[in-house]
Amino acid sequence: MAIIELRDIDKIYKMGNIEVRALNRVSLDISEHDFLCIMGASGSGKSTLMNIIGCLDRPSAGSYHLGGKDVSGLADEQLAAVRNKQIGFVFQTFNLLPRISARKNVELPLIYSGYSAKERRRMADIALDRVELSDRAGHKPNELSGGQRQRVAIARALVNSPSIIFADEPTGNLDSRTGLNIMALFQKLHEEGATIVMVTHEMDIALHGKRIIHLRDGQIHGDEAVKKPANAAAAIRNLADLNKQDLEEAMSLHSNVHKSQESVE
Amino acid sequence: MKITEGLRESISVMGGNKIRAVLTILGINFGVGCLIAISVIGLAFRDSVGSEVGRYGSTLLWVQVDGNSYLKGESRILMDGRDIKFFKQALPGLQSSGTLFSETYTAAYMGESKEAQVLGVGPGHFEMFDSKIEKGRTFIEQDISLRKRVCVIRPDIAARLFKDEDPLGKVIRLSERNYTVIGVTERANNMLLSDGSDNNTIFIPDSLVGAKIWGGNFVKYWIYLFKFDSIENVEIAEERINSYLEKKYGLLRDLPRFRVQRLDSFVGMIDRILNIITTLVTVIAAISIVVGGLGIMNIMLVAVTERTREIGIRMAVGATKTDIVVQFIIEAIVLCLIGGATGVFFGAVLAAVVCSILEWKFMLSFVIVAGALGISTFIGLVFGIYPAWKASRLMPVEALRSDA
Ligand SMILES: Nc1ncnc2c1ncn2[C@@H]1O[C@H](COP(=O)(O)OP(=O)(O)O)[C@@H](O)[C@H]1O
Ligand SMILES: [Mg+2]
Repeated sequence: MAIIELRDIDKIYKMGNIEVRALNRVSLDISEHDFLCIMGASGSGKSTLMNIIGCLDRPSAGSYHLGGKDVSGLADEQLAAVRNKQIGFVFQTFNLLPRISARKNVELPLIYSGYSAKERRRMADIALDRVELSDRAGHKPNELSGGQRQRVAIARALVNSPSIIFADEPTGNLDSRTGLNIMALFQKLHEEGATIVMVTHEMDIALHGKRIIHLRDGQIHGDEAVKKPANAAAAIRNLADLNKQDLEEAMSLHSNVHKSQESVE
Repeated sequence: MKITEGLRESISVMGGNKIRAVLTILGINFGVGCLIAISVIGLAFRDSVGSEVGRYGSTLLWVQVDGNSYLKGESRILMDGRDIKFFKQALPGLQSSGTLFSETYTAAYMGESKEAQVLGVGPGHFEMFDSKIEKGRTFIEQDISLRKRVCVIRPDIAARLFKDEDPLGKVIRLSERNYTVIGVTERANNMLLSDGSDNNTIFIPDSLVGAKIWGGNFVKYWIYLFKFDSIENVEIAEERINSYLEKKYGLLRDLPRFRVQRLDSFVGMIDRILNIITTLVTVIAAISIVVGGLGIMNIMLVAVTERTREIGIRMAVGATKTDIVVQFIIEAIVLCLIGGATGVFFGAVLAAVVCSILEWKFMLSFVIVAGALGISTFIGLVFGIYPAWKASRLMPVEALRSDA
């Protein structure tokens, strides 16, 4: 049974008297326990589509059923509740609150579901444990590496046990090895039963999913099943199997990339 | 979102930008401080007037030559002993009466000398102005009628002239005449209504000063004070004195030669002046609170712009528009309340200092504090609503796109 049913979704951005048609009659079904990757060139409408199915934005036309319920007609307050309880969203730029600790960031959705402070802390610790970041719970985002930040963001997406996790280019700001780690995490969550929808423009990232759709100019231009998804955890093990010298080289490369990234931020 | 979460959140936000928070709350702080100070000082002032009026019973009345009626150099008609005699029998409920003459002389005793204010008073004077005697006695009727050369002195002049000696029975020299000290008063307290004496004053019988100033035996008075048992009798006295003096001395170019003044109307006048001052300060305080509120609104609008992305993140994880509105309103209210609370503190300190200098009773009532904090909350609410609404107006995706 399809947990997401999109029918003839249009999204038109108006800028003055110029209209940009970012989505053009998109129809799509996503079934429960799927791992769908949305691919396409920059500007093809991936983020626009993702924001609409993630209930962060409203379509200009078309209907959207989430878990059998029509959400295109929901009021803002009800839509907020859907985002709070049914959806977990992971962003390319992490979108953590800089002032507060990792744990407090993970607790954020729970504040809006009315959990007590004690309960929130317990649930946040479980979520941080699932992303293997328990030892960094008290750190603020700027005390964490990019990969660790993305793990915090994933823990925040998981913490309220949503039925679907959306991720818009979650590895886009990470180096490839860290990206691989994040993909391994998503695959683990998928094995544990999560439904995942992910946007990426990189084929080797997309190949970790079970199904790939291609977007071009706001329209779906291909929908294929991945016969044998790449196994991120195995790939990491293979990397670790490199002889020691190669490994050190890889590591120093990794930390260089990492440093330059941090200085950019 | 629960209020406690909102409070915790706003305190963490303010902690991150203390200087801005301090600058923002200054307007509210100043306004509330003014309000508190003026209300406490006003209350203390009224209390002190009230307690003095209580002491004098506000049934004090005095008659004096009205200098405004006379032209420059024109000789003035004064009251004489027969007038006083008439008043004493014609005015019902009269408790005590007396007059005041004041001059500055050099007082000397055994080589010590000091400039001193000499006040000629009647026997009822010390009771009328509530001056207590510490040693010896006050004047009795005979001292006045027999024009005895006796005096009652204040403690500072006593200490100056007599050092450790007992002043009672000693003779001091005043303007080439000798006066025997019969009493020493307690220290004069700093009262709003006084006979004009200080702690260096020497009191002598008014009959002596009168004779000295106006010459001869026939004493004349330019001011005379009466104290009555009730306000009704003050009213009767005012009327009778006026008509008596007008009948006897006539008008001067249609103006009365004497003026009758009542302490209770004097108090009413002080009250009116205080009301004007209170209104002025309140207006200033209100303006500065409103300007402070606008400052809060401005800073909240800046905060909303700066934190658009945060708003987007919160919405993306499930915050409703109401949650966002509540969060920002709480933040505005917390800012105003901190401004208000510190304003209460500074205003109370200012009022306490003023009260202690003027020896007034400092009273800070719960109602005043609660009122000030209530006003602060209200201002936070009023000026926080628009920025908060602005914060909640965007779709999450629009808020997230902000690169602030
Ligand atoms: N807020 C916006 N206002 C106007 N045009 C927009 C807005 N967001 C996206 N677009 C346009 O819509 C198209 C799709 O954008 P987007 O969904 O971000 O693409 P992708 O994520 O695939 O790079 C692009 O042409 C982009 O310029
Ligand atoms: Mg995009």
